[in-house]
Amino acid sequence: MARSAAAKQESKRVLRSRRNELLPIFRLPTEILVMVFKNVEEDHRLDESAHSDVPACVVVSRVCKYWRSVAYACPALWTHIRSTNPHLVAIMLEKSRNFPLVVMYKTPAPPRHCLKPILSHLPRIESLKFRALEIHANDIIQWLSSQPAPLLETFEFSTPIVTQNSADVDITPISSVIFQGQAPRLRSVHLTVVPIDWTADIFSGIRSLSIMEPGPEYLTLSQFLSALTRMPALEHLSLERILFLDEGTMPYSTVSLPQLKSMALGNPTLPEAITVFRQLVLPADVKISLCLDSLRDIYDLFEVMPGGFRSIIKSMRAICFNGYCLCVQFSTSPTMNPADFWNASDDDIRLSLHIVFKDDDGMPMAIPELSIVFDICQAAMQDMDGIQSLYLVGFGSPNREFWRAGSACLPNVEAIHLEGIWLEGIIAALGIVNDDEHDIDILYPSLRVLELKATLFDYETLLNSLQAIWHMRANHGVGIDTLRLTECRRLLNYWVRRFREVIETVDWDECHWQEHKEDSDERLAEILETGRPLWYDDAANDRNKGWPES
Amino acid sequence: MVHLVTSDNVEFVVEKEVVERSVLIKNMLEDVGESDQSIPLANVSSAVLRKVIEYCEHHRGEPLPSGDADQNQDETRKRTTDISEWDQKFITVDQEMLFEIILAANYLDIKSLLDVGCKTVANMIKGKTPDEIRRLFNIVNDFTPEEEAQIKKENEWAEDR
Repeated sequence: MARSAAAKQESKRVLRSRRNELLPIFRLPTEILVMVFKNVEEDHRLDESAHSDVPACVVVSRVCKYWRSVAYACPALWTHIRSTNPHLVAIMLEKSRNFPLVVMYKTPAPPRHCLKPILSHLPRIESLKFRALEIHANDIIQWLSSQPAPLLETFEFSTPIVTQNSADVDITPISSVIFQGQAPRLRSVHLTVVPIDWTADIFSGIRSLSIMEPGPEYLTLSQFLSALTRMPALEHLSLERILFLDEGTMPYSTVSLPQLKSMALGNPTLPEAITVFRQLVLPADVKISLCLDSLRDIYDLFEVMPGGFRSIIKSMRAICFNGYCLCVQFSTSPTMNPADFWNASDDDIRLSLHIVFKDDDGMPMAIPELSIVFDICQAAMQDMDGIQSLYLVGFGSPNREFWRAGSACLPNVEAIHLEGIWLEGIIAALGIVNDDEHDIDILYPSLRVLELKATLFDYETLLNSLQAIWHMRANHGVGIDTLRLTECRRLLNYWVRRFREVIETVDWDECHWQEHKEDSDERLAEILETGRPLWYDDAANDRNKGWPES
Repeated sequence: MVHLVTSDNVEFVVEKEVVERSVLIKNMLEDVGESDQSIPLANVSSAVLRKVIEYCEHHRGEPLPSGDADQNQDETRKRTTDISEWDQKFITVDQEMLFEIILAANYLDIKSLLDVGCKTVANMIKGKTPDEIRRLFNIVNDFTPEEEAQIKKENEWAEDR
């Protein structure tokens, strides 16, 4: 009886399969269905807004018998692993057969049930990016050391930022035993809060090295330079929060990195930075980002730094934040990209300096003088005549003397972009003082474009002053012909109409500036209170927005 | 000009530059040389060929995709299912016609059209549950009881987390 019922069920199922075969979509040959599935899978993977970590190939494999067989027969669909579900990971490892794997975890995967089985396939992993809690790091390093990684090209490993909640674990440094010393295709290594043995030669062929806070061990400049000699093909180098040990003497040998395209140094002291640049032979057009805690001897630094870009700089941006940090950037494009901070893939910004002002006790202190940005410009550039655009962000209310210093430093500026800056100072600066007929004082004589972002327009006299300035400058042949207004506060239609009466081009986005809802300090306090791990490589923990102190 | 005859015996006269977006036809023309003879396309109906020619007309002169384009994969590149506005409008047809266009693109070897077709089907699928996908294409669930049990187990695993 039961057998007969089962046979009946099977007949029905076969009929359903036959019915499916008559559908238009079943006319697509298998290879085209595979192309469709690959598109679905890739799109799901690259879609940042897709929250589910269930791979799209799992979904299509649950539609019908034929689709399941097609999906299961295509190993390429199962090679990108990011699921934290051990069962799904097991399915993917099985279905991907011996195809190269791409493993990427933005949250820590269960170490024993996900990472361990994945790392048992180390010989076929092509790209490995993951995070792990510090308590699991040593096990993981052991698994990473158990087999060679002949296909591995990219290796990224992060543990959380060390805070009061962190477990007290001594993580074994990444050394030559990792991948059993065999990762011949390795090109990119990013280690964050993971110690490294600088004598390891496993990274000898790499093109990109990023090391962030490798731990409390000091590194001597000799060790560092010696490590770099083993990486002659290096194109991108980023070192953040590394403690250098003062050896007392300067290393003799120089290191040549002829392929280097970008270099970011996190927190060296100025003498360390000067020594590093003195010992390195770099291409003239290498892009550099430096985070410093002092400007003393800054001229000496620029003397030893490569400066092939200096004659082609078209714009300067200065960002002031937290009251004690400055970021000054120089770009070869007259238009700065909208992102505020250093990005190695931005080909226009050639030099980015980030200065955290500290007192003798190492505590943050207020920026001594805002016009210091122009002193930095002079020290870095020597010849500022080519700079056409000036971007200033978050400078509060700089006075006329600040603007005068800017005009003297950058005499050919044609466009000024201001964000979150009170206008009184620049209004005073752009006005033309005419005490004596023969001694007319005109600042920014080449200025043609003024862009105001997140500016507060809170009283009418401001409007009148601005109008008076347009007239005054136009009468002296130094008129401003373009005004751009972006995300301005309390700006009225009527005001914009008045601007349009005197300025040739007025662009207004009619958007209002929105205060960021989440305060970073509050967010940080909440995280520390809950004990949740905090990661450097989260966008919200960008170094420039204030890292928590370790 | 090139003469094409469809499966339902309709003749199309198309400019060589347009029709040569089909690698199949391009190779045929290279093999036989200049000729007034019609090329029979036994796998393509006139309704479908009309659409294919419309596509080739619009994209005439554009560089043909190279064979190794697929290998140039990069996490930062545009998502695979991004389709240009004109192509999206062009491919907004009923399912029957969509699959016929894909089959014709495959047969005629017009890679860019095949891509647009596959991406369109992928866009229809993405973000949907298996049930929703079945409803979309009229597919019926034909899993064996064992496969059903396996899928059920997989779902439980996913919920366990």
